[in-house]
Amino acid sequence: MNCSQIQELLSDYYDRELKEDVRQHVEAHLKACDRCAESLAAFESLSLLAGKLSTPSPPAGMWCELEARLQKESQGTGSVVLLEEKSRLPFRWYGRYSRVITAAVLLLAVGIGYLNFTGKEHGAHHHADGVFNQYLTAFEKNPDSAQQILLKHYQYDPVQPQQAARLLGYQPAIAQSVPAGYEVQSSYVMKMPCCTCLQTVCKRKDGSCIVIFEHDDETPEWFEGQPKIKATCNGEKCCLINLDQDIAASWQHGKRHITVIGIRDVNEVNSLVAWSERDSDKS
Amino acid sequence: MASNQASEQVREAVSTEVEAGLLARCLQGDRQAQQRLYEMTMHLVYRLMVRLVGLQDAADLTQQVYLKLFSKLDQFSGKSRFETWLYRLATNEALQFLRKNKNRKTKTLMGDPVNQDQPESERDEQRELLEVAMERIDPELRSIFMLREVEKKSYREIAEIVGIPEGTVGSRLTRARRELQTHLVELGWEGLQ
Repeated sequence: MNCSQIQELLSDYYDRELKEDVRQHVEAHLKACDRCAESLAAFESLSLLAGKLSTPSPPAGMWCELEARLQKESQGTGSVVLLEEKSRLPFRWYGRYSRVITAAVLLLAVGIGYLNFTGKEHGAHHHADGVFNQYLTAFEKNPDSAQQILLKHYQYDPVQPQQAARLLGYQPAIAQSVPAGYEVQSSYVMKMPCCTCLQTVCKRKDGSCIVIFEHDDETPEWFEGQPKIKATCNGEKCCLINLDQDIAASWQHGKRHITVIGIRDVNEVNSLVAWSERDSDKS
Repeated sequence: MASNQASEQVREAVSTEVEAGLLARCLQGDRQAQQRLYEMTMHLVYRLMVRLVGLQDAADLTQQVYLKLFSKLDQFSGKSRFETWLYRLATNEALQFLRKNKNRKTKTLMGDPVNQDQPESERDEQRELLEVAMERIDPELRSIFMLREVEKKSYREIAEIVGIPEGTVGSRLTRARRELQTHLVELGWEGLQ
């Protein structure tokens, strides 16, 4: 075999796809030909480099979104309203991806403008003072400082969750039970521009926290300008909002709504939805 | 190598569950079965998509693959392995997308976790060079290279996935490797011998 023929077979040889007799011919040639041996060595170098390519982790919320799309397809027009095509983004990346995706989300938001959640009118439920946006921004850096922003701007009463019913007129979900794996750090009945809600800060075992709001109305203005993804999580329709480090989720809970900030991934959304639907009084 | 072992485990798990009627349940619209199949295999599809179309479109195209998969599942004859069929769907989806978006630039994978024994700056630099070089070659060659070097597919499997004669896989791989080497050298890579 000459060099040209060997070069044609080099990948087959390198990948061990040659029949044994042909393989022996190629091997004999490579021992005698520096040029062809160098070509083979280059293949090896390239394989080593390809081995350095990492395995990216898929975004955690993909099944929720896919399930909503499957549901929509199976129902024709579908009861789950998905956002327009451009807004379907990979949802919630772990670790270092989250910043990249958030940047992409923000860029997209500028491109397509504010995406309406359901088309409902929300009347006067605006947080035009930007307090909630300040809160969200601060929350990513320091939840304790963020809490002070809300306490500074809104009237509040610190309460035990079990005692909140007398101020709210209903028994909140958190009074029925605390989600597994969290403990209540603080709870406030808070008079916000949209409504009076119960805000509960719950700590995880690692010291990080989520904040649960139980409120009368939906919350699109809380996340004004943020693209939202509608998905079914644990059987409930949820609105998911990709924040810088975390995600926020909001879902209907009986006559009211629950919004949670500081969630790490959609699995956590699922468990929180399960908690709210399992243990609480929806009346 | 770890990803190869993981792929092998997935392959075995999928084979076992496919035999156990998972696909039949998916065909009946059983959402739990669909979720199970998706969770078992999605990282394979997503990994391929990231490499073929880039980070920014990988999640969306992965979902497209599963939408097609669940709508076309009745067309899976069982002649090839399910995993091979899934790769074929994914590769076709990626190549169609790239054909429609010829002028589009893919986004490299800055920030991926890799072997921690190597200085981070060096890892990033090497990885970026290969990613840039891969962007410069024909998408079909890129897919063949990926299926061989990352997914560790045999020539027969690659032929089935990409839809080319098995006898041409080696020559396409040689072309992909040479073009990648050329681009890498142009980019300043000194690791090639």
